[in-house]
Amino acid sequence: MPSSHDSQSVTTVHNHDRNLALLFVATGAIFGIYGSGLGSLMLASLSGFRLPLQEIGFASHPYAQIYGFIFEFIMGVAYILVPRFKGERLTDILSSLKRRRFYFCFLLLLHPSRSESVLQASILEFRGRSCPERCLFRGISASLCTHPCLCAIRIYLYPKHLGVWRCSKPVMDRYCRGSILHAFSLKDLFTGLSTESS
Amino acid sequence: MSDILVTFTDVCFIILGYLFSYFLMALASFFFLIGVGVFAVQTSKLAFINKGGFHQTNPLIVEASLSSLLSCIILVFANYAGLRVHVDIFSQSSIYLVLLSFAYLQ
Repeated sequence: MPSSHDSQSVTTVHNHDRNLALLFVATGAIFGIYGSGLGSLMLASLSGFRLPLQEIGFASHPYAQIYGFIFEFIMGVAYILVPRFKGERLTDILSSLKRRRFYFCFLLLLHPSRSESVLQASILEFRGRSCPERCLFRGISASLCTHPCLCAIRIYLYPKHLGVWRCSKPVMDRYCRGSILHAFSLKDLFTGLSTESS
Repeated sequence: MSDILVTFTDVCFIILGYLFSYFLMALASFFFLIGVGVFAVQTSKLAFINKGGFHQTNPLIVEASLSSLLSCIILVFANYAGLRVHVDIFSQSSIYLVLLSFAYLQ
């Protein structure tokens, strides 16, 4: 017989799914109303009515209808129906990413030289490109730099998180030191790039 | 997470209707792709579980997730100027992809 605690947790899960679905459907409805309103204004202007506003915002009409209304509405309905069909909870992507982040960092740690060569090639490639592309590239490079450092901090502060990798701690120590030095060398490369671009 | 990303993207699209920026357009498309990717992973994982009722719907759920991902990839390709891919995201085939493959199957 299920306990009261179990039934309470099931109700909480169902309420969470319902709230998520309602949020999707409500925002979808708002975008739908906005898109339909814009569409009716567009039709009115095509029919020859003179509108007291500029027609510049009409470009967002198809985006609001397709990516605003249809996507949000269908995603909301799917979020509430699919878990109920299966009687299972949705996977929490954020927590599973947090659990796997350590292994991702470890992989990055194992290949500092490779990532550096990729970055150097990208720096040469991105010279003279437009500002948004450089910003995007810098963001990716900065994340590539910080991950090994975060991993190193984590290995030193929380060695119990290593789990099955605990036996390889001496090797990882060496990689950690190397990765921190590597991050510093990359910092010099970025500084060079930013001064060159300015 | 996916709700925040998708809603942020839609707000960006509305703002872009008034104030165009290539960078914001590309960023919004990437966020939309990530949001829909999260949705696709979450629903597809459930579709592979042989539990509960309506087993017939499993392939439909997976196909709908894939088509939503495909339409988002097209959106990114169309809005990221650096890729130089000329795709019309509001052509008949793209709208059929969203309406029939994603909305109808899901």
